[in-house]
Amino acid sequence: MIRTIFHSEYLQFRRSPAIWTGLLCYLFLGLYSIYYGRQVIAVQQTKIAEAADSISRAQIAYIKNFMADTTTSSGRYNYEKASVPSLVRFNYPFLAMNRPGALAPLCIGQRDLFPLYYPLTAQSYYVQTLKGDIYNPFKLKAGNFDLAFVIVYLMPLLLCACCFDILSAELRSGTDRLLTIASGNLRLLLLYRLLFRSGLVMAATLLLCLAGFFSAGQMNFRCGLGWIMVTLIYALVWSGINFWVNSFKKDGTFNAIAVLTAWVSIMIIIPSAADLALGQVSRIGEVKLAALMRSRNMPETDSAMNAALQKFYLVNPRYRPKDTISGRFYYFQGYSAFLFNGDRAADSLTDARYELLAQHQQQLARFNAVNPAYNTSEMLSMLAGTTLADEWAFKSAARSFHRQVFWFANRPLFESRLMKPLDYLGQPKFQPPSAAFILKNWFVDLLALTIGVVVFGLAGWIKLRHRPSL
Amino acid sequence: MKKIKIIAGKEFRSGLRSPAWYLAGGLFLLLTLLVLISGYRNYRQRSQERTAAVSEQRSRWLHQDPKHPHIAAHFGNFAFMPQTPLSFFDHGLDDFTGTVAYLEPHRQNEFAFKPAESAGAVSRFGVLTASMILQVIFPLIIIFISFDAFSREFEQQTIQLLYSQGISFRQLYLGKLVGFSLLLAVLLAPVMITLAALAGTDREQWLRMILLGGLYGLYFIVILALSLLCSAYLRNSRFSLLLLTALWVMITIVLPKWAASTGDGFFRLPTKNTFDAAIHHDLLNGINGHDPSGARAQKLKSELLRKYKVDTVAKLPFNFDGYIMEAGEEYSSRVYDRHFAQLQQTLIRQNQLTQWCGLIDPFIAVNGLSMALAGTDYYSHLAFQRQSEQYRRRFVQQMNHEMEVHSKMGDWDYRSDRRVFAAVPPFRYRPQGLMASISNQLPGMISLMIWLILIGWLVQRYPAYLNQS
Repeated sequence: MIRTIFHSEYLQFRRSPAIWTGLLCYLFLGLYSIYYGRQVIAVQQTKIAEAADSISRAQIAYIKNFMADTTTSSGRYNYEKASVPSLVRFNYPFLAMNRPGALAPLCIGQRDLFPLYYPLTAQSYYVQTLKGDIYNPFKLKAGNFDLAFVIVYLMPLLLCACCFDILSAELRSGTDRLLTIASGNLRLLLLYRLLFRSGLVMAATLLLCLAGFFSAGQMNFRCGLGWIMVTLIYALVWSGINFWVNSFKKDGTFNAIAVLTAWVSIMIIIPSAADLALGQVSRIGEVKLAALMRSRNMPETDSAMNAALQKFYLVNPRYRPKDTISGRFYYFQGYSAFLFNGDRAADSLTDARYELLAQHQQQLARFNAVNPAYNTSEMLSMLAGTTLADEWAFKSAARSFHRQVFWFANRPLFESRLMKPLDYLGQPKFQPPSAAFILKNWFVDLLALTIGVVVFGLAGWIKLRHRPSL
Repeated sequence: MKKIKIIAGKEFRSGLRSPAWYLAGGLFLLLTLLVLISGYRNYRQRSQERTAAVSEQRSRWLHQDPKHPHIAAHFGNFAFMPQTPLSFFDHGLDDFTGTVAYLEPHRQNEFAFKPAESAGAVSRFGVLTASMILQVIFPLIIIFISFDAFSREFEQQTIQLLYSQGISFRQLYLGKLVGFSLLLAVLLAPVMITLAALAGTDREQWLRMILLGGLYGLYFIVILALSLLCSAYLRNSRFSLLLLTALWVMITIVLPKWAASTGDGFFRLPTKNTFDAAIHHDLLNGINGHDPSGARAQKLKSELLRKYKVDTVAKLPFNFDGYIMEAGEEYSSRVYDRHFAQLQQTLIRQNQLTQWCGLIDPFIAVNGLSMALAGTDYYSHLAFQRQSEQYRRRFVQQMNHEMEVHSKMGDWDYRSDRRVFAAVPPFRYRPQGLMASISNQLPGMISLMIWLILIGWLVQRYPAYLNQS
C-alpha cells in the first residue's frame, strides 16, 4: 500500500507547479538565510578581531615602554606610563570578547541586541559597560533572516500548504466515494500521504540544514545532530496539526483557515500574549542602574580617602598598611578603594535586577511551555549559544574578568610599588563563559515538542477511527 | 447606484448571518480591546516611572555637594526617553531604542537599556499591540471573509444570474466592496471608540488619531479590494485563499525582514569602539587631520594674549582653563556632529531600503506611517536624541562658563554652590509636530495610492480578461 500511495503522490507532486514553486522558493529563502547569517557573523567576527588586534597592539606598546630611554623627558614619561600603577590602571586596555559559536550563523538569536565585546580598564566596570552601543533599532525590530527564522516560521507554512488538503482534495475531486469503498485502511492511507508530503518538506529542510552546517565550517557533531532532531520533530508537530485538522473531514477552505489560524496563534498571538499576561518587567531597576553610568567623583579630602580605604580594607585586609603613615600612592589607593567599593555596591544592584529578569524569563518559558514555535526557537538558540542566558553569561564573565583587570594594576598600587615587566607577563586573560546550555532544559523542551507530535497525531488518529462518511 | 446598494446590502446581511464572521470578529474584538487597555495601563505605568526617574535625577543634580563646575558637569545629567501618548497603540521602535542616555562633558553617549534586551526570544516574535493586530492579523481576517466573494459565485454558477440582471462587473465589485467594508466597519467601530476614549483630550493627539483611522481605513480597503480581485480573477476559492495567504506571508513576514536585513548588509554600521576611535582621532588631529589639539590650544592662547595685550594667560581677565574647556567642548561638538551625521546617514540609508520596499508592500508603508503618527518611529527617536544632545552641550558650556568667569586659573578647589546647579534648567523634550512626523514617510504615502490605482486598473481590465479566458 505504501508504495502505491507514495508513487501516486510522487506523480501528483510532479504535476503540481504550485508545490514545486513553493518548494523552490523555500529552498531559495533558506539558502539566502544561510548566506545572510554567515555574513552577519563574519562581520561580527571581523569586528571582534579588529578590536582584539588594536588592544593587543596597545598592550605591546605599553610593554615596550619599559625599554624607553629614561634620560629624556618623553622616554621618562613613557616609562612611567607603563610602570606607575596609578597610570596603568585607567589606561592599560583589556578586551572581553563574546565570540560566536559554530552554529551562530544559523541562529543569530539575541546576539545582535548586545555588545560584541567590552574594552576594559580598571576604571569602574559599570561606567564602561552600561553606556549604550550603536544599533539600528529598526533592524533590531525586524529581526534576522537566518535559518532558524526559515525553520520556525516558514517551514510550517510550507508544510501547511502541502498537507492541508490530504483528505479534502478527495471531496473536491469527487473521488471520496472511491475511498469509502476501498478496502485499505483510510487512516494509514492519510498517514502515508501526509508522510510523503511532509517528508518532502523535511528533506528540503534537511538539505538546508546540511548546507548551513557546511557553510558554518567546523562545528560540534552533537550540536548538529540536536539541531536536526529539533527541526524534524518540529516539522512532525506541524504535520500532526495538519493531520488533526484533516481528521475533521471538512472542505479544503475550512482546513486552510484552520491551519492558518493555528499558525498565527502559535507564531504571533500566544508568545506576545504571554508578555502581555505576565506584564513587562518594571523599569525602576533600570533607572537605578542608569545612575551607575555616572563618572565616579569623590571629594579629594583626607577624610573621604580614609573612609574609602577603611571600607576597602574590611574586604581586603591583606592590603591594610602596617603603619599609619600615608605612602606616595595614598591618594591613588584611596580613589581605587572608592571605585572598588562603588562597584561592589553596584554588583548587588545589578544582581537583583538580573534575578528579576531571570524570573520573568522563567515565567515566560512556562507560559510558552506548550508553544512549539517558542520551544523550537529556544532550543535552536541554545544549540547556537545565542540565547539571552548566553548573553548574560558573557556579561557575568566580563564582570569576573574586570575584577582580575582591577587587581592587575591595583595589586602593585596597594603594595606601594612600581609595576615590572613580570607583572605584564602574568596579566589576566579573558576566559569565555561556558555555554549557558542546560541539557535538562533542552530535553524538557524537546519532550514538550514530542508530546505535541503525539497529542496531535493521536487526536487525528482517534477522530478518524471510523471510516469517513465523506 | 441602486444596484450597488442592493449588492452591498446583500453581502452585509449574509456576512452578519455567517458564524465565521462572529467567531473571527469576536476573537478580534476581544484581543484588540484587551491589548488596547493593557497597553494603556503599561503606558501609564511607564510614564509614571519615567516621571519619577526624571525628578529623582534632577533632585540629585540640584543637591550634589558644592564642587568645581567642571567636576559638577562630569556628575552629569540624564535624558529619559518619554512615552508618547499614542505609544500604547503602536510601540513602534520603543522596545529597541534605548530608554536613557547619560549626558556628560566631552562625549555624546548612546541611549542605553533597550527594553528588548530583557525580553528574550519573545520580543523577536513581536509585541502584541493594537497596531500589530490591525496591521498583521486583521488583514488575515479580511482575507478569510472575502477570499471566496467572487469565486463562490463562479463555483455555484450564480455569476451568470447576476450578469443576466444587467449588473456590470464594476457594479458587482463595488457592491461587494461596500458590503464587506461595512462588515469590517462594524468590527472596527468599538476599537476606534476605545482608542478615542484612551487618547485623551489633546488636539494634536486627536488629529494624529484621526489620521491613523484614515490610514488604517485605506490599508484595509486595499487589502479587501485585492482579496476581491484575487477571488474574481482566479474563480477558484481554494486557489484564491492560497494565493492571498502566500501574499499575506510575503508582505507581512518575509519582505519586511528581508528588506531590513538587506539594508543592514549594504550599509554597515561601525562598532562603538571604532566609532569612538575615529572621534578621538579627529579630536587629537583636528577634523581635517592637520590641526592637532596642542596646536589649536597654542593658537587660541596666542590670539588671546594678543587681544588682551598681556604676556601670560594668568593675566587674562578670566580663567584660561575654563576658556580652553569651552573652546574644546565647542570643537568636540563639531567633531561629534560630523561623525554622528555620518552615522545617522548610514542608519537612514539602511532604513530607506525598507521604506522604498513600502512602494510594493502596503504593510511596510502602513507600519512606517503608523509609527510616525504614534511618534515611535526612528525619526522621533532621532529628534529626541538631537534635543538631548543640544541640552548636553548647553549645560556643559554653562558649567564651563561658570568656571571661566568665576574661578582662577589652576584653582581646582573653587566650588560652585547649589544656586549654580539650579541655574541649569531641566531637560524638556519638545515632541515633533505632525508635519515633521510624516514628512519622512513619503514612500509610504505614495504606496497606498499606487495600490489603489493598480486595483482600479485591474477592475477596469477585468471584463476584457474574462472575455479572453
